Amino acid sequence: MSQSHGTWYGRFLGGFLLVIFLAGLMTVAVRASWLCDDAYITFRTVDNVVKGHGPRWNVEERVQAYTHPLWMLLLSAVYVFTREVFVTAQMVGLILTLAVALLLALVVARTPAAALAALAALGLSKAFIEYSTSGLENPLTHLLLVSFLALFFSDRPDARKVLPLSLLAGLAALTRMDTLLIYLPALIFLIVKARSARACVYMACGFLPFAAWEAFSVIYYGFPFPNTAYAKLSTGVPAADLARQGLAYFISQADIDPLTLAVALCGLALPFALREWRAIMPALGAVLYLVYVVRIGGDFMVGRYFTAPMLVAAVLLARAPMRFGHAFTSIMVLGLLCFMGRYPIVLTDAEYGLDRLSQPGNAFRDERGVSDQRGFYYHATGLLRGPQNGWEAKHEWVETGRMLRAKGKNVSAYGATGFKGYYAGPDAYIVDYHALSDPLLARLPGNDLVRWHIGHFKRDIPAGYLAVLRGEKEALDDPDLQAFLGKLFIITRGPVWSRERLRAIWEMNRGRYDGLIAMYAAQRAANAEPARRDILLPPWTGRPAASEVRAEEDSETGEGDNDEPEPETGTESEPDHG
Amino acid sequence: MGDPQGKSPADRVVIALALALLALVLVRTAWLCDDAYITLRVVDNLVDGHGLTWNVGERVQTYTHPLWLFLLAAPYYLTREHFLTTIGVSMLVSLLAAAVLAGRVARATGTGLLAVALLVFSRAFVDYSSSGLENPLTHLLLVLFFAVLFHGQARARNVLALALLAALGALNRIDTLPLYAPGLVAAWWRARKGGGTWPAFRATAALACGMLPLIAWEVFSLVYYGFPFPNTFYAKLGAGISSSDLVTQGLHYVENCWRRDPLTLGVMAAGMLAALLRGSGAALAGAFGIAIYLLYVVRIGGDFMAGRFFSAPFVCGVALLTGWTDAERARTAALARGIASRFVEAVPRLAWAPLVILVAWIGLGMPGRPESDRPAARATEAVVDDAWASPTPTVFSDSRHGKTLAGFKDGHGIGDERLFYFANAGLLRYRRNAELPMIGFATEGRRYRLLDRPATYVHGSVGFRGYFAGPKAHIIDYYALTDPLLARLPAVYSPNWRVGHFVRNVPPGYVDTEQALHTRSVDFGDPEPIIAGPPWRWPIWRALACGTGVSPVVYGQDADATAFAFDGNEIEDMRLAAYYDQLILITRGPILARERWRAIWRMNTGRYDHLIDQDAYRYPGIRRVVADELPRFEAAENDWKIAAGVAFTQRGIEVALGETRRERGIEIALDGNDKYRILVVGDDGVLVVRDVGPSAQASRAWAVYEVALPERVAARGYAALRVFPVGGDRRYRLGWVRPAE
Repeated sequence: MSQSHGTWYGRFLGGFLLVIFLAGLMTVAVRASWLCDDAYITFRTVDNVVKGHGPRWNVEERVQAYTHPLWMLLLSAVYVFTREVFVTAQMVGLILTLAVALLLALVVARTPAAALAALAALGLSKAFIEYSTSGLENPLTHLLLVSFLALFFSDRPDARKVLPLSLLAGLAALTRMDTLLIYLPALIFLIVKARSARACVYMACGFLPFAAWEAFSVIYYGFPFPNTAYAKLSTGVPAADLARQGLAYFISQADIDPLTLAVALCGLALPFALREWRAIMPALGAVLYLVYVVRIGGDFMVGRYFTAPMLVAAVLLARAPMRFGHAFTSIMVLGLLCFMGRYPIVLTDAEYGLDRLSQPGNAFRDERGVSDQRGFYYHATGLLRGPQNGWEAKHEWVETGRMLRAKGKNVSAYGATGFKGYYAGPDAYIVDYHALSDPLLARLPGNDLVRWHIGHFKRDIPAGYLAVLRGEKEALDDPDLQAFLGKLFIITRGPVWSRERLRAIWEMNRGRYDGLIAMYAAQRAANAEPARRDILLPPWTGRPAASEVRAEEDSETGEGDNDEPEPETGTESEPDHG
Repeated sequence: MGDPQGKSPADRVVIALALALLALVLVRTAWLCDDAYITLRVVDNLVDGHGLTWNVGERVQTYTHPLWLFLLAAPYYLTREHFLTTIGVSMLVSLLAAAVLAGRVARATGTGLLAVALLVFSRAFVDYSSSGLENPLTHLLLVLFFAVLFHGQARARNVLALALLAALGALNRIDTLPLYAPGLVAAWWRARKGGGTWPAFRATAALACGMLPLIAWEVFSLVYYGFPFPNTFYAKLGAGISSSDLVTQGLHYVENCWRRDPLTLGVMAAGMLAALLRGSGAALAGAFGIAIYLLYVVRIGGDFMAGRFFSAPFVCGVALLTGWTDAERARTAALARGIASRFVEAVPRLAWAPLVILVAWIGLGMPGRPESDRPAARATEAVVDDAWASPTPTVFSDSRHGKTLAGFKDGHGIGDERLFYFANAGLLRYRRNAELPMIGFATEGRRYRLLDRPATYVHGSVGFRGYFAGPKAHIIDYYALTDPLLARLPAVYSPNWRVGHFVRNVPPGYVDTEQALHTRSVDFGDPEPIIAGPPWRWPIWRALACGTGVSPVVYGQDADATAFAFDGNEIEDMRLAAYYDQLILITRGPILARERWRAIWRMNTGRYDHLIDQDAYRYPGIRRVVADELPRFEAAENDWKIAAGVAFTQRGIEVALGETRRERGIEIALDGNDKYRILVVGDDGVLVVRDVGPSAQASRAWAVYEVALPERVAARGYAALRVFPVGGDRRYRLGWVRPAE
């Protein structure tokens, strides 16, 4: 805290409340603690690293199946000692979150009251609490972001901040590359303000870890970006549709978890409220990031992409010179926002989501395809359910994984490959038909460009692919695709340092082989439904509804005074993807 | 909490957070209604170069809010998208209004927070902050007005600003003028005494100049449309409901608000009280404005949209409650001595907290069942007539809102429109692949567009249909909001009239006439690119130019009463046809023609009103009988199923009594299980109205009712009775009519 209080009891009260709020925040985080299936995709890689197979998902090939190298490395470092993932991953997340809260309350906050308000914002936010664990890289993103902002707003001269800030930004890019957008305006601001070559050198030095990783990635995996990025880029869905889905993501957020969205949007206005012009940079970064989220179509996990912008807003909130009156009001407003949401996070318990589990269909997913992920998985991976689940995930997909492990060496194809992959162990080769971990499928277009469900772009497995993987066949049925696959195998399976492989990496990244896929894709497109926006309208039976007919008839006699129809809610049935 | 008049950064942060709360509430409750699409069709036609018309080729002002229409047209011009654009504009304007209220009207932070809290918890404000209607702009103009009124100095320049805002407010919705007028007068009065040279003259000149936009629009409206008021105004004038009935309905409207949304009414009352405490001329003028406006709302019978007319006076109430100036605060503090004055001075700092909590308690503590518990019900079964029917508080409304319509309408036809439309046209129903609004009328409209040929249709709810049907469909609205001829016909008499839904009988031959006009004389043109070529070629310029692309209607000289006749006029009622000749000269003829000006003058001064046979159109299809010719029988021995008496329909029956009678009572025999309304008609119209039935004991037989008539009716004498059923089983019979002994 950079400001001391007048009276000793004021300080004592402030400290006491701070402890209470921190304890409250961590309590909620622990009660909500969980893991998702996608995290287990990373856990399989972690398992392989620690067992000495290298950072691979299927041990036969070098594919980066995770988007978060730094997080993966962190988990591996802890996994070496614990050799288990259920408690470990959640604990790492919780500890990082505690660090975030402490940094926010003790370093960033201008006054104790502001710290309380910021902690309340975090603790009442469904998205922030949920992604404080979940096994994904969000906690690390949060810590790096808060550290960056703490340093950015500190009293040090700007010239001395460039190196550490660039380092933090580089590490954040290593954690998740797209979060770099949040840091970008601030970094540009620093460089412009410094106007010196030395600053540029410092910035370059700060990004050295990131550059090192990229070099490693290109050499080891053959590609600079994770496989998931290629999977999302190649779906073939028109950009306008994706943007609409991105907007739908915002709407779902407003529906299910309004607090996070409210705070994130408020944060954009806070630099002007505070009259602190430096704060415009992170706010601008948050705007860039949110625009990016819209463009990529959002996600199927509600709230996940809003935690970073919300954290920026929480930092700005903490920077306000609040007194207790301000904090009290802010907490009241935040409390109301929390309870406006569908599932107020402070009420979460060990039974979360159980009631919806027994409902028909998928009661966790709303009509836009955005899903309350924690509700979906909590019965399987909730920390509070640890005792009854044997301190590990308990789900039918875990059983599937164990079944695969029992088979010895085998090749199979599944969607939702987190639990299955981790529990199947190194001997099983799993083709992920959502293409997150399969290099060939990631470069093929999705199989349904109309009824797709965000985050689940299923691919059709090319004829002969599984047979080739099993060694039963020499080549795929399609010769172009086989040529492409050949190059891919050189990159992912061939010896790392061969000249042929390095040339293949160069050509593949330049796009020389895209034509081979294009022929295959064109042929499939010719046979498939065209990408179109499937307009949903109420069914038209050719006759107006009964009440409308009566109104029409009565118009001649002048009677129809109750002309309003019953609302017809559009019906939509989506195939339930795995 | 900082300096009472200044705001510290932390204060602004807290207000920003409160505004973010309001923003989310607005996003979660955003919706559009059918009436908004009437305006959107005009916007669509304007942007496509068909002029400010609803049916292409026919210049009729179908919207009451010109300024709002232009505000919507600007982004629509760029996006050509109706749903998100309209909602986006509404929400931005609403948020701006809230920000101005919290920042500029309420000068202290505490009162600013109170203002935002009041806005969040008011159902009327939140519901109509989207909806596509002009309320958001009304709110913004009102708060700007009060910001200048309360905190501006008494100068002519401020009078100019106030007059300008009032004129814009009237351009937005002319009946909000009573909210501005007293404040404007108060400011003008103060400025007359102000300093500088010739203050009185400058103040008056400022007032007049400020009103210019309104005057300019009125001139334009007269020139372009031929009438100074929107078509809906004429439609409501001729509805034929008595003023006492309207006032009763207006009181029901207030009662509906009191049950569903007590905070809104409470704030209006509290604001007026606060104005008394404040004591300054501006505040008292504001309170007076609210009072006049509420009287006006009651007088016109309210609306069928619950809460819609209360959002504007509510905002005024909030401004009165929170817009204290230093001088007023000091004055009130000076009135209270000693400890009390300390308290009063501290009020802005301390009182806001419990006040906000009280407001939240009222806003959230409404008794009621959550919507998901209610069984699904058809709209007609959802009429709730009991006291304190309380829906879920608006802050908790999410995407499940509107899934059931239980409790949507009360017994007087006033409905919760957002509940009605939310499932189909709410923002929270947005999906990437759904074309909102998902309502059957929109689909029907799209079908009409697919037919792609000029055609004429007759419909009631014409908003969605009209917009999606496109320019080639000509739609005749039998609620007469958008049809010029039907608006000038009286509404069909119905005892169960519902406010805002006054049906007209479509005159025989009218549809054919319209179809002929539509196909022969309208030039639809080819869509041109929006921005291509020099600016004067852009469609928007073409749209604003005089003329609508319509070829002149063919006229011939008629030597009879009227000077011109359209030779395609197929209306069977000859006098109405003559009336219509003049009307289409105004709505379709060349704007600058001299004959048109003459027709405009005569039509507006009522010279053609005699051509409309009021009774024929008010009681179409009424059955006429003569009392003496009704067969006599004894009620007791005749089950009404036996064919005795005269059968009639919902269109009613008129019994001529032969000669003018003066008895104090009449005896009438009707079938016993229905309720009837009896209109006693004299030489100059309806003298008195009585309701009879249903009779408790005579469920399947005749009931004989004795109707007592007041002295004045008997003195004037009456010659006929009109009997209408008030709902019922659609089987109505009249037995006889006799004077009572």
